[in-house]
Amino acid sequence: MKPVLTRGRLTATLALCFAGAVIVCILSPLIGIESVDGGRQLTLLDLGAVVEGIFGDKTVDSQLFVLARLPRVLAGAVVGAGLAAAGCVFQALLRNPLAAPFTLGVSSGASLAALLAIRLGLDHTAMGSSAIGMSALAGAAITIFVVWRIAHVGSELAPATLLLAGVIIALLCGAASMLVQYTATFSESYRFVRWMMGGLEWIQYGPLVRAAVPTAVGLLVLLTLSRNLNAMSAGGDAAASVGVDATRTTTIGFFAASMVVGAGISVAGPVGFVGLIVPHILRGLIGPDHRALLPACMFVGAGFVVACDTVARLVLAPAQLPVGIVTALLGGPFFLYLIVREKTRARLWGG
Amino acid sequence: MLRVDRVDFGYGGPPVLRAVSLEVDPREVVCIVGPNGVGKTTLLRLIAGLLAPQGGSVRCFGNDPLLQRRADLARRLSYLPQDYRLTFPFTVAEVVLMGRYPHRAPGLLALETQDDLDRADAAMRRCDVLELANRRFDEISGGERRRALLAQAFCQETDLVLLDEPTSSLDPAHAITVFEALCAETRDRDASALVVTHDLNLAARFSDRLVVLHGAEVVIAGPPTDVLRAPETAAAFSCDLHVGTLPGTDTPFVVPR
Repeated sequence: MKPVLTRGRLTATLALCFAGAVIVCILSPLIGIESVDGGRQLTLLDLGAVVEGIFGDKTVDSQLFVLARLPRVLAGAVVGAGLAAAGCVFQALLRNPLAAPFTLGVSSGASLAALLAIRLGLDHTAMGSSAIGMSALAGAAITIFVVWRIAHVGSELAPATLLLAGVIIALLCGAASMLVQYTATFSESYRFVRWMMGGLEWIQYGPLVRAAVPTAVGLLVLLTLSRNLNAMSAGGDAAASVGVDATRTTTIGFFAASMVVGAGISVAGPVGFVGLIVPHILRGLIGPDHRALLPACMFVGAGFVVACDTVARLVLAPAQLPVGIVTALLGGPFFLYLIVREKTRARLWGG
Repeated sequence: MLRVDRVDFGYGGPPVLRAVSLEVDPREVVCIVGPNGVGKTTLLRLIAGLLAPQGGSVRCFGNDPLLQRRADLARRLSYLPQDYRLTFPFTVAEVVLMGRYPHRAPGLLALETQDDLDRADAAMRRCDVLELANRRFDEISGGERRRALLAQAFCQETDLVLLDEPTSSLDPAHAITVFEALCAETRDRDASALVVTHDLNLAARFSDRLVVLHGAEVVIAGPPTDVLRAPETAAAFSCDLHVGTLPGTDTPFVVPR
């Protein structure tokens, strides 16, 4: 590990992460499963035919690539980038290794609202199938505001108060969800559980754009905070000494990160684990400086979710697993391996 | 440069500071001494604009520190807290370079320039932590950390440095190095320093003025040797202080009895 972040090192690190994400995002939609003589066989689309189809006359391969698989891959990238970056920011703001995108109740509030939408049958009315996603987004927004309002004492926004307020609101929303689910029919309850698993199966370009725009804005805001997050690592007084307003950084970071998480949940449901482990793994690899860590989290988070979703799409094809199951089942053991391995354990978290 | 005028402060219970007044002029090193719990750290936090006085006023460079933007204030005033714990495994060099954060920042990610690296290098050399630059901050000793943090404060290049017990875990030789560096730093850049310390000998030897806090008030302030010989100081520390000078020099020393 080099002592300080130079322009060259930053460029090299980010170029590597970006290239990895791009390769995954191009490879994933090329891979598919075909039924051949009752068996299943892995098939690759012809990249030449895809490119030709995009720029010239449409081909079967290009239609499959652009219409069927690309929106799902792009949504995976948007959701993964947002969740990993948000997790990284929450860990820095709360100075807590267990902090993740869903720690402060964003997903619980979104889930409760999604469940209410299912329970009230909003998706069968005028709003159509996007009702659940829109409802989840509204739920996330309300939860974010409530948590902030409770944690904001005077002009202070202390990490411990924010953490407690967020966790309590998450538990409250969880209990309310159970109450609603208790009164729901079997089918409503199943659809809710299915939504909670997180999935990218039914994504189209419309909802994708609706999630991508707030995610991009939020991520840009978070990037401008990256140096402040370094200074906040030593607490509010020390941050103030080097010119960083801790309360202001916490407020902006909390809202921007929560907006990103809410946008992701509205298209893919709560995809777990990405936001917890990607920042930890990268911190061990490239060090704690958020000016490299945060953008690296975006790229690697995107690649990770797309890769997991590819596995989810193929492993039981033609049935498709929810991506949240794969992120946890693949990411969990890998993270445990890093903890068990002494060499990397020390670098995962300071002090 | 710094003017604290009849400041009152309390945390809800009995007053921590009562009508405390204090001035620091350019190129001065002023030490604040006093028994535990008399509000020394609170006074520094009031000056750094981290607390609001309940009476009286604090003026840094003619302005109320609470009304200035943190980034603007940090170019003129640095504050080294007594307790400094890092959450993440930053290296010593990365911690020192945080002192450059208030100064210009090119680009979205605001990387350090070569000029910043040079200044951090000089500060680390001055505080004798250059060979620790690549070590992890959480893996070096307590005394080494204090020196690294002092290097951070130096490379911030502010007009006023507030230090809360900078030598508390330092060996005698490094404690002297730190104060010598501090005096050189203030002299070279027309800066000043306000230092809270429990080391009366270092305070006597290196400060231009000594301020004694006791019972929430400034009981006496002035040239170090005079203040140390004053009965108010002995009363504040509840012990007799024997003050002498080293033979053949004018370096004062203090022995509590």
